[in-house]
Amino acid sequence: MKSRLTAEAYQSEDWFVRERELLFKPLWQFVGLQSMLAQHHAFITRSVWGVPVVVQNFHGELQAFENLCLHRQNPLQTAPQGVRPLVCSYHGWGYGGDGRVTNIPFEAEVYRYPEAERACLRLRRFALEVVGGLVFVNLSDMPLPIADQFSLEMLESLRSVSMAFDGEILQATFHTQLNWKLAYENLRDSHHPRYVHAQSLYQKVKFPVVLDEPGIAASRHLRQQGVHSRDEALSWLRGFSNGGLNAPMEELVPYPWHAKVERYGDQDWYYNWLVFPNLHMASGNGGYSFIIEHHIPVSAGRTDVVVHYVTAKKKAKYAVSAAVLLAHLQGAETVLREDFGLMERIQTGLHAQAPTAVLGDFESSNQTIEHWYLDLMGGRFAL
Amino acid sequence: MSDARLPLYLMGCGSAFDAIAGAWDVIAPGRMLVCVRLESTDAIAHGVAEVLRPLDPSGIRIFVAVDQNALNFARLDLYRQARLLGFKGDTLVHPRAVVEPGATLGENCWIAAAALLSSGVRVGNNSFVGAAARLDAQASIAAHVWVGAGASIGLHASVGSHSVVGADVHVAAHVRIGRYCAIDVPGAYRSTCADGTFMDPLFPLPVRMYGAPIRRAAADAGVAP
Repeated sequence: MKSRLTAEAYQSEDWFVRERELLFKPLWQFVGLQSMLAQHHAFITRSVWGVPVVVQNFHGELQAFENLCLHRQNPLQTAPQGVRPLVCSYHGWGYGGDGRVTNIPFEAEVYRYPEAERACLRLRRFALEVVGGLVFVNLSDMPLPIADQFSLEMLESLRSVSMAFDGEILQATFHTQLNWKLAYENLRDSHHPRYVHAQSLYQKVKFPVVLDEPGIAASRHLRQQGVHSRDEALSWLRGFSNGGLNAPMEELVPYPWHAKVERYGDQDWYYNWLVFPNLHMASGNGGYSFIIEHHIPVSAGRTDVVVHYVTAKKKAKYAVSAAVLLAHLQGAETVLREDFGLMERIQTGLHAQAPTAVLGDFESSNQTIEHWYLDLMGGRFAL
Repeated sequence: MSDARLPLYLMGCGSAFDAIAGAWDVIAPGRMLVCVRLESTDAIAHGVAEVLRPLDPSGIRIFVAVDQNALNFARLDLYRQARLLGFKGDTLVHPRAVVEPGATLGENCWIAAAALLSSGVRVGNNSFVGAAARLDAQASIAAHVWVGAGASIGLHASVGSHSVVGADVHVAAHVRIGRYCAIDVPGAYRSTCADGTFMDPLFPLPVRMYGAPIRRAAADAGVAP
């Protein structure tokens, strides 16, 4: 079936800005792992579609704010992660857990703000939800309930798996030259590993290419009829995220460190969680360790991919844990490069007159998302 | 440390293994060498007991030569297994390396050709120093470390245990490289690298480790290649 997504959807900055307003702003966005925010004053910073966000622990309570000092718009926290009070380095303004300014050095002597103006000084606060060990924020002034975005089954699955994550995390960032949509399309294409990962991942897992006949019929219906209401749109949206057991491993190689962690589940299967729009989690060894892959759109043609590696929770500290994570990083690098290389080549080849994709029935989930997405972008519904 | 009369069992695989086996005639002329080449570093200690158990620990010496795999833990696994069976390790210095008086070397260390270790240098057990590497006066290398070919460790600089200092990495004087670090992008490093810092040629940006039990709370220092 001929795709209706033209090159413009992958290349145009104007299109990208509309995506931000119509799709990303209303949706809950993954920002990090709760274990990175375990202590008082621990923080992480992220740029969520160009909005600088800081998530910080205030005496055990997580809050998300715009990461800009109210005085001169200097970023309050500058490191990607750390432990530090929420204080601006420019003039020393300090902020509390409710976003109010708690301290302005020499306030009476040099600022002399009118009382009413001073009382209004409060950081822009964003809604925040913690699902198991995963932290999400929402940039909207009226955020939709997170259960409108993810099914209860999906939320429970995310909660269950992320509670199995260990607190020792290796984080790597890749700057890629590709549109973020290529990443989610590629992740939902179960036929590509046979070719793109023939010498790597496909040696370990033979991903089944499933023809979901009800899903194919539903996708065709959606293309013909379109989305009629917001409730219907949210119902479709909840179906875009799913996960759990994916495919049996050809052979699960036992490593001594496996005995040191609390395995998630007991199946020698590849686990896969696709979290629409831009988060992917997987376990390539039956629940002993996990990769958490976060695709952060930077512009139409650029996506930062932040990758976290964790093992399942340690039973007790063991000496080689750092080496285990580093080995995962180096091992997964091949598969990531294979995907990035492919998607960057597609991105490079796009141009205004480029032919659009011709999707097969095995790509029904991508087709469904495309129909829904184009109705959203066309103003047929709003989130 | 070394008993040149006893046969040496060289066990392992990789570049250090090949370098030692290939240069044995100049490293220890006339001394008997038995090479036990292993297939890979995966589960490396598995099966080694069967090789060593029939042997008399007092009648041989061992040397475990495995590269920097898994932050040198692969080498440690094999070495530890051999030690638990009662075997003692030798330290090997290539005749074209220079180890100045006052430098101290631990057990199962390899100092490759043209390496220069100045006075006061300390090298911990099971650490390897690559060809033409330079360790300046009072530099300190902890146990289970890999220093690559052509690397240099400056005056009073230190490298923590299990770290990998890659080829052509230059650690400036007085700089501390923490434990469990992999600094494998050539260049000059002039500031402290916190425990668990990974600079790998595969990754264009520094890889960071969070929440590690090994990490020191305030050691989140910057890294400048």
